[in-house]
Amino acid sequence: MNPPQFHRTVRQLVTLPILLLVLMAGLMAWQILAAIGAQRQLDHSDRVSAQLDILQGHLIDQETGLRGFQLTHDPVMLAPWQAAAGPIQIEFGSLHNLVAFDPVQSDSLRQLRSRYAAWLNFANSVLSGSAPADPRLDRHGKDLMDAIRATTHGMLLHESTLREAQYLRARALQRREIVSLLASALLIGIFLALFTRHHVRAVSGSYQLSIDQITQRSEELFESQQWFQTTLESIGDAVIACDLHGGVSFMNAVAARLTGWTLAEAKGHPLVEIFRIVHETTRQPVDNPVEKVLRLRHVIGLANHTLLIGRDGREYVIDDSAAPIASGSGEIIGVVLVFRDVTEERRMESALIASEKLAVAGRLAASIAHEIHNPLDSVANLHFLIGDEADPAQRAEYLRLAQQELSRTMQISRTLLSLYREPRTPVRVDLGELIEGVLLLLDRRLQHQGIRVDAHPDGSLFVEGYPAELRQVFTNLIVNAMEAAGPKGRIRIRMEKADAGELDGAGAIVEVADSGPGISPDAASRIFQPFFTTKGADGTGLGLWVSMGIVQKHGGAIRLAESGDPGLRGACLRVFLPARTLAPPAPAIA
Amino acid sequence: MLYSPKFVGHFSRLPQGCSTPIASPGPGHLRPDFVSASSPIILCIDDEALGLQIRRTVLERAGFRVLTATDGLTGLSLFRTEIVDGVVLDYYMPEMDGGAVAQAMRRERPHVPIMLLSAYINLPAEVVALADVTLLKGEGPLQLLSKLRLMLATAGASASGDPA
Repeated sequence: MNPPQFHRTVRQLVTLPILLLVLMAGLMAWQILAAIGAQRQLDHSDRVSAQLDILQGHLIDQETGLRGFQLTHDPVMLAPWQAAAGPIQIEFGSLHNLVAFDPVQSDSLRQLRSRYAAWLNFANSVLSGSAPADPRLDRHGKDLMDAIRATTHGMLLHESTLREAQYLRARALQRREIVSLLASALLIGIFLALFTRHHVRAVSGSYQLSIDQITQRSEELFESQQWFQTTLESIGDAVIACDLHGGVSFMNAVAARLTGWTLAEAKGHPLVEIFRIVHETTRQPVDNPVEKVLRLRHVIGLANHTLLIGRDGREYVIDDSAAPIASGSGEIIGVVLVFRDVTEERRMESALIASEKLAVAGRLAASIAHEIHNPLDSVANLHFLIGDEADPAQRAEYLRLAQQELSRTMQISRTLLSLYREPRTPVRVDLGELIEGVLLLLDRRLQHQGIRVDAHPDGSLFVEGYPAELRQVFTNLIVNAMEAAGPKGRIRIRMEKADAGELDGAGAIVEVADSGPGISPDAASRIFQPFFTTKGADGTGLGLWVSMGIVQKHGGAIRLAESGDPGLRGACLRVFLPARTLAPPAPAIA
Repeated sequence: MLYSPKFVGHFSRLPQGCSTPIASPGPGHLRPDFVSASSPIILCIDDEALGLQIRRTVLERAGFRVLTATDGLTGLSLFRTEIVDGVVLDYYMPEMDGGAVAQAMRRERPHVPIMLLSAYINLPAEVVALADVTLLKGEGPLQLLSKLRLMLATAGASASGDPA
């Protein structure tokens, strides 16, 4: 039963009994009116009879007075005569009015009047004494009076008959009234009972159905809520849901563990109180993600290097995102935060970065050893020669040469150290010099493989940054280019100033292109991912990933480009480094 | 500007105006000063010019006659034209490395002993197999001389003991 049907049924259940009762009341009123009419007619007959009786009484009084006078001729005897004369006229008038609608009685009344008039004439003649005392005359008077009596009696009889008929009609009406009332009450009662029973049954059926449906729905809802709750609870990531005002409405167990708040404690509290986040290195508070989502109305990934401070002061490096919760109509009704503890991952990453740094050093170790052992050999030989030399000039010359070779060793050792030693804050780095230094370390290998290097070091290119890290980046890029170019290959290193653009500030671009086979499109999308290598077992797959990390930390970017030189169809990597670094003072990558 | 390793003169380059005992009269020339006609002739090949000259002086002091070359090709042509008793060969050289030089020498005169003297720590195994002796640069002249003498003695013994 749908809501309109339900309403119609309820309306019928209310209005139909009222209608029927009104109908029954009408019926009753009609019956009562009929009964009243009958009663009125009965009353009318009674009044006619009573008037006739009174009239008859007055007539008898006049007759009695007349008789007395006749016998005694005492005018005192005429007192009843005179007393009745007035009322008789009044009674005639009343009767005339009463029987005006009954032609039979009206005729009788006229007859009565005329007979009375006749008798009155007779009586007047008697009274005037004009008539002689004649016994026949008395007889005439008696006859006249008898005629009057007969008429009165006839009228009474007629009225009585009429009353009897009316009485019977009233009785019949009464019976009919009772019967019809009983019958209609019974019928209406039965009808109402049946009708109500049917409708109430329908309504109650539908009510029961609704209740069942609602119960089922609520059970399903409960189950689905349980399901979602369990699912959210089971998710390995932390989940916090907030209302539009940033109050916490839900959090799962992981979120509870990381924040140190239970759901019961946190519920209704502002998110910023529960989810305290700061920048990993600067420790400045990070934007409230709820406000940000409500402002931007789409999913946001929170800033990198976000640190969550738990209630107990424990800190977690987190990787997180926030998304709006939209209702069915698309209206935003809240915000959900998903985050996870990446502290361990971050440690692993640091370990990987450190190991990659060692791997870079390892790759350079052979060159470095070579560079150190060559002058050391000369020094050892010169030392040997000095021991045997008698000529002081010659000894001085040997010493000078030994000193020269030692300086060379020290310079190499310094270069080696600079791969590791790093200032605490970003410094001004001469990119040309830095790249020249890298090429110097790789010089032997380049020569050995006969690789030609076209380098265009620009002495006026300066950026801010960490020189050891940048040296690592360019070592990686140039070693990659060497390995790709192969024996007799070619590498081109170009450097240029980058003016401030729409997206980047001013800075420097260093481009390393090689004559190798190039990077396949499939590999191109993955070269910056960790553990991706094209060198098989010889590569760690971390070089470009770490390089990208370093460059990004400096606020720059590395991307694949085209060399624009037909002789250099291999890989071409462009490194952009901003003149003013974004790297924070305490380097994350130590 | 064309970048070339030669341009970066921080290390390894021959100092200007090198004095007489070190300065070579030219590749391949034997200096008669310290040596007798019976002294063994050693061919030294190394792209490190200064180191090469110093080594030459050390070897000559020790009584060897020394031929020098600063690259593999020059070394090979000397090897072909001169009679040498032993070769002291650097490994890491531009154009033609010590391995290639040793291989060519072995093809021509396999009995001439070759010492691979290198600053390179990860010498390929097949290159090491070509040499009679390998020595790391920087181990000192005494080690160089003793190993060289031992190598020559071993080679002479096997050559004289060879019935063919």
